[in-house]
Amino acid sequence: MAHGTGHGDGKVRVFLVEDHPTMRNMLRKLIDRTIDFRVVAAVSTAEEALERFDRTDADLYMVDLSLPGMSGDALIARLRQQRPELRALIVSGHERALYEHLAFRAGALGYVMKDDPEEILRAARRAASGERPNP
Amino acid sequence: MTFNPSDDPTDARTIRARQHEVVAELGTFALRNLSRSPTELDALMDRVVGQVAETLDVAYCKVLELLPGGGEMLLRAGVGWCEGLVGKATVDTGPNSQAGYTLWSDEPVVVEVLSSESRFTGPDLLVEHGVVSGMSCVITGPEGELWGVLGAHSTSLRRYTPDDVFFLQSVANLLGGALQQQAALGALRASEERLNRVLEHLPVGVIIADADGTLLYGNTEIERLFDVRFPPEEGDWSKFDCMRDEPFPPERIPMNRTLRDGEFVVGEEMRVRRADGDMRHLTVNTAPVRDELGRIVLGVAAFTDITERKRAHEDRDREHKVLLAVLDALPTAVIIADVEGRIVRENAATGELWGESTVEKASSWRDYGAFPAWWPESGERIAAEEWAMTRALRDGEVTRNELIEYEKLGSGERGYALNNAAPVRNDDGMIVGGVVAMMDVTHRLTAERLLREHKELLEERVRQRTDQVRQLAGSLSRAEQVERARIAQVLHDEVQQLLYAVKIQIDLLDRTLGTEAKQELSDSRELLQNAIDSTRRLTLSINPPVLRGEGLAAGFRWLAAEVEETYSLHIDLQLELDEKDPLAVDQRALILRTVRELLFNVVKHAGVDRAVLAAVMQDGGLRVEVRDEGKGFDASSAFGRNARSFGLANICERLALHGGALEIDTGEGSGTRAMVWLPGVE
Repeated sequence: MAHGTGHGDGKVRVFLVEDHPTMRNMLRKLIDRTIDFRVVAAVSTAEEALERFDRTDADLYMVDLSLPGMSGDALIARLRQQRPELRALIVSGHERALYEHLAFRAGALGYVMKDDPEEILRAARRAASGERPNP
Repeated sequence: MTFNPSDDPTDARTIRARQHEVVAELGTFALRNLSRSPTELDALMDRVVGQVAETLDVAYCKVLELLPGGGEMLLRAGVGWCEGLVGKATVDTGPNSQAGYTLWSDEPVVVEVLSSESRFTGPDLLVEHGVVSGMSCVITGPEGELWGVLGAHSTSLRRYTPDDVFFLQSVANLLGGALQQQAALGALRASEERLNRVLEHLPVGVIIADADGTLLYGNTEIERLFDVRFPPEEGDWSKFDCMRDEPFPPERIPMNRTLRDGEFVVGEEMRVRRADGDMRHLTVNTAPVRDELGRIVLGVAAFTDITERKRAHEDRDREHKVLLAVLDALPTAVIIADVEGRIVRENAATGELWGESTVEKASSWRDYGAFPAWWPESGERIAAEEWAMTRALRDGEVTRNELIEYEKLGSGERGYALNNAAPVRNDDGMIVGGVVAMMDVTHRLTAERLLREHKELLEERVRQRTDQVRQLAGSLSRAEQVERARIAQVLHDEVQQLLYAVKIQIDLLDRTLGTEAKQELSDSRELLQNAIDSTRRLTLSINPPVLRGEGLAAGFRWLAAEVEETYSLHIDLQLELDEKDPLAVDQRALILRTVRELLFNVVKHAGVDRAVLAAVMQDGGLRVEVRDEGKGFDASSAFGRNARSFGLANICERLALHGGALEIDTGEGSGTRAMVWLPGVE
């Protein structure tokens, strides 16, 4: 595996932030069915994520851009203030061309569209390795 | 033998009486006849030589006239002399002849015996006629000069008595007197002739009447003036139909007054109806002519035709009256002043404007300060030297529509007037007066002020209504935007999320299925992807990211990407905008839709694969420009409402509601440059 995590099962621990419950469940299912990732937390708002941040060890934060309250990119920026090495990925339904710059400005490693599951996993693996998933 | 008829005293007295009688008779003849004709002088001379020869009982008598040059004398008249000599023969005036000696001595010369005469030799004329004795006297001319010689000669010895000499000298003197009278008459006739010529050529009609009023003379001009032949048939002055305002009674006819009272009539005007019916205007001067006793013997009247002058004067008078009537009919006050500024005339409107007449108010421009008036802008009283009339008289200045405020004399009522002034010049260009026209514009100014206030009120109402419409349009736009955002949110947050979830589920399912089922599932995935794409585009379309607070720059980038992807039109972005712009949501929506419409226009009409989109914040507003180098298009047709719901005309209307504008510079083959301006954005 290309992932540099060092806990018990060797899987990359994913912290999921997605406000839509169906989508959140579906993403959790997509990730959990992989052999190298598992979701350690799935919350619906940035505030909830911040609240659980210290209590949850995660290797990769997959965050929706549009969230009620604090936006996804703002959340990533806030988390990286606390843990600058934090690896995060924006998972969004919005046009990449328009918002990708927000992701990078916040310190995310990549911006991936929700409509392509294969790309989501590919991007997640790259991000988990510390690589930028997008060219 | 010496013949002496006077030896006998009785005879001598008889002879002397006879001589006196002859002198008297010749004098009477001269008096009666010489005034008739110049030829009567010759008759007198013939009579003289005949009577002298007969009275003195001599054979010859002659009148010699000194010819010009003084060297010879002509035998002017004579008796006894050979035929053919009178009028032709001449005698030398030298001292050798008796006549010459007589002239030289200037006194009577008596010759007893010519042949023994020692003072002179006998001239051929006397010698050839056998003259023995004789005597001769000088004839003095009209001016006292030597005119000639009167001589009597006998062929026998004769001793002439002093009475004879006296007689001959008396006749010579009578002849001299006749010559003098003849000369005086000639001079008188010449003078009369000159006078007649003058009178006939005078442009003045002259009439002379005697003391009874009988017309003696009328010149050519009088015939022309009265259209009569002179003298008139009745010879009566009253024949002429003379009148002034009405026909003259006879006693008032000027000539009659002159003849009756000796009145000198000077320059009296009268009218005369001529025989042809034409009425002439004349002036008449008359004067009486008195004799040495002071009695009136003649009357002279001189008439001057002033008809043309009178008619010209009447024409001028009529024109003057018309001019005054026009002036009085004018609604504008007109004031006329002489060169000093003295007001000499005004029209009726002047009295209405000033409240009373101005004519007595100013004897020169220096008095104009008495007219209460002010400059409207400064409120300062108009000084005498500042009035338009003063400037016209002093500087020749022409004034047009100079506004003043004035106060009616006596009433204190104020008003406004427009002053127009000009100098009046004579033919030499010298200023001889001035004219001012004052038009009261108080009512006009009041009406204009009311109109201006009404207009401002209307404009304020229009502004208020426009603001209301703008606010309403803004509210509608915002409401529309809110609704669009709500739909977009539902699409994005609900529909799309579900579709993404389904996509993931299919993907997960795919991993558990066999090859055949995978193929079926692939088709479903493709259909699902189409649905996702459609909803995403719909979301973006009805609620572009720019409207969600990301700013115009992001909106333009998205729009450029969309247009390039959808229509293969590359957009060269030239943006001088911050990521965060100060535009309100409805303003952003309007700009984005405007630019999208313009880009669609490029796609539709330009036939090019690239265009420029430039934007900059400038002068308190936003300037956006979309340009291409394509074929251009007919802007007028593009502004109509077309199939798109948001045509250029609609754009213009919405921009106008926000105070903005759209200008399109295009033409066939010259590319297109569309400029959008939205103010109030900083």
